[in-house]
Amino acid sequence: MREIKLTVRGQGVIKGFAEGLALVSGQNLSLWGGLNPKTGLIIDRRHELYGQQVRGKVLVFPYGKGSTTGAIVFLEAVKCGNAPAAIVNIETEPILASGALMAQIFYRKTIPIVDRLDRNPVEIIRTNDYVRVDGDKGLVEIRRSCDTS
Amino acid sequence: MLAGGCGESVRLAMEILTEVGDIYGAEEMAKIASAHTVMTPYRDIMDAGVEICERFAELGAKYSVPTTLDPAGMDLQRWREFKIPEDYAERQMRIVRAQEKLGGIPVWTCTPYLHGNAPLLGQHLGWSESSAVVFANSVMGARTNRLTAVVDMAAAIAGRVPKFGLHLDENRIGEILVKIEVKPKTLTDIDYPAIGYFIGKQVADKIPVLTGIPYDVSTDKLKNMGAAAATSGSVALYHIPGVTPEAEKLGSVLQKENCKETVELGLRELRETKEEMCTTRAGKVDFFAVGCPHYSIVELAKAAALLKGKKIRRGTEFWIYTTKHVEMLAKRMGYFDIIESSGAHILTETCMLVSPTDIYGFETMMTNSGKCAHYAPALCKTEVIYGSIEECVEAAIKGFIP
Repeated sequence: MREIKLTVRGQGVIKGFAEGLALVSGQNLSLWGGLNPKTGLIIDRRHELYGQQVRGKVLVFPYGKGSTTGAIVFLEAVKCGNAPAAIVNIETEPILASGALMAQIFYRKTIPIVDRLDRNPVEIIRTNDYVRVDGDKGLVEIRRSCDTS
Repeated sequence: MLAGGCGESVRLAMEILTEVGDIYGAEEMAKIASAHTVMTPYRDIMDAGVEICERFAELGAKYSVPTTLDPAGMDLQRWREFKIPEDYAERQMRIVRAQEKLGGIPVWTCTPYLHGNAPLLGQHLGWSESSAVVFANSVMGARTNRLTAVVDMAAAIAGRVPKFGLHLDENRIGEILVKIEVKPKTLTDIDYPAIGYFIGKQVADKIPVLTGIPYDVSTDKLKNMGAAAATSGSVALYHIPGVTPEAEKLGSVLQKENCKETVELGLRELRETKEEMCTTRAGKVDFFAVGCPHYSIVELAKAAALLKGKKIRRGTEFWIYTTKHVEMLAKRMGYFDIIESSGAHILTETCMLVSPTDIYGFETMMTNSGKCAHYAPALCKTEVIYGSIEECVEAAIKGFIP
């Protein structure tokens, strides 16, 4: 077993530092009708992450979409302890950024977000990679165990 | 304001708005003509939402601009008849009381533009509700980003929004040309949400310029098309030359160099999109739900005409969601009695998606709404069939689709 480590530079949307296992999708996501904040599970049957748990994960997807109710779904997930640890997007839309921003204001909980990476995060990060997200510096560090046999 | 000279609630509102503005590079705030907030249904905003509404109310916050309210999480009058649990209703009423204290205009609708919150061309707004945002920007030519929950309350309290995104001329220009290659005269009500759904998937958050929409398209068709486009994508603005106001004003929306991409929608794409919007095609249907976005009086009149003298099959429910105002008109015009005598019901100030529809255990829903068809499997826990109001009524009488 050896480990690959890669650091990619992007823009810090929400400051702070967090790390965890990656959950990656190439599909856009609406939090309302997409995430059940009381369980942390993805509930959109039309989404490839259907049934997956986001709690404590570094959630990686291209863009937000859909309902504008998203930020409060995010806040309820924070309140219930079911929020992701960090988020990485190709580009973060204001609905998600606002949710993470207000998690700090109302619940003193930091969920860093980094976007506009030098490389496409959906292509270079794989589910279950160990990812460290630094929202202050806009850095994403990816560690992957590889079986060399 | 940010320093706290206008009180803690305004300071908190300005803190939220300033930080959102900082992330997106806003250089200043824009004064807004009105606001609209989705901090209304308990089903969606949950306990975090109750807490935040009450926190603003306890701080003595007041909306400083006309602010309309999105649907509540239950019919505010008939909730017991529809078996809403008491503890759910109690929390919903806490939201209602907090919004009353804040001074929200209790239209309880996702169609504020039909109910006293009708902005003018070029006005800045602070709106949430994806279906209302796309209508205000596109059909009315007003300017709002897709504000999200809580930020919408902050905008209403401060009377301001950070000026970025769709508040700026340069960000309102068409980016993708969508050619609708279906004979305009053959387009019917049920095609519009499908067109919207297709567009949302194709353009994501880009601004489409649509050709092939007839010049005499109705308000309701655009309402339903936009709602679907803001569901499958995050479309906040589209232009239709000859129809929407800025398509002329901006002129440049037509310039080819701005539209880097062209997408074509023909009969085949339309048919495939409608299929994709369904999770099942035939069989027993136990729930019919229309009025997403809320039915207008025009749409309700059509449903009444189809239901007149008919009976909904036993074991099926047919619920039409609308506003108190439309219900009042329906009573005056005789539609209310026609609809209720058929066994269908008119529910007001809520909808199938923001009330706890999953408690009824419905298995298959049929709807004429693109937005509802998309969200129903996750939020109402049903299979879904997408069909026209004519098809809905026909199937409701039979109780199934052959």
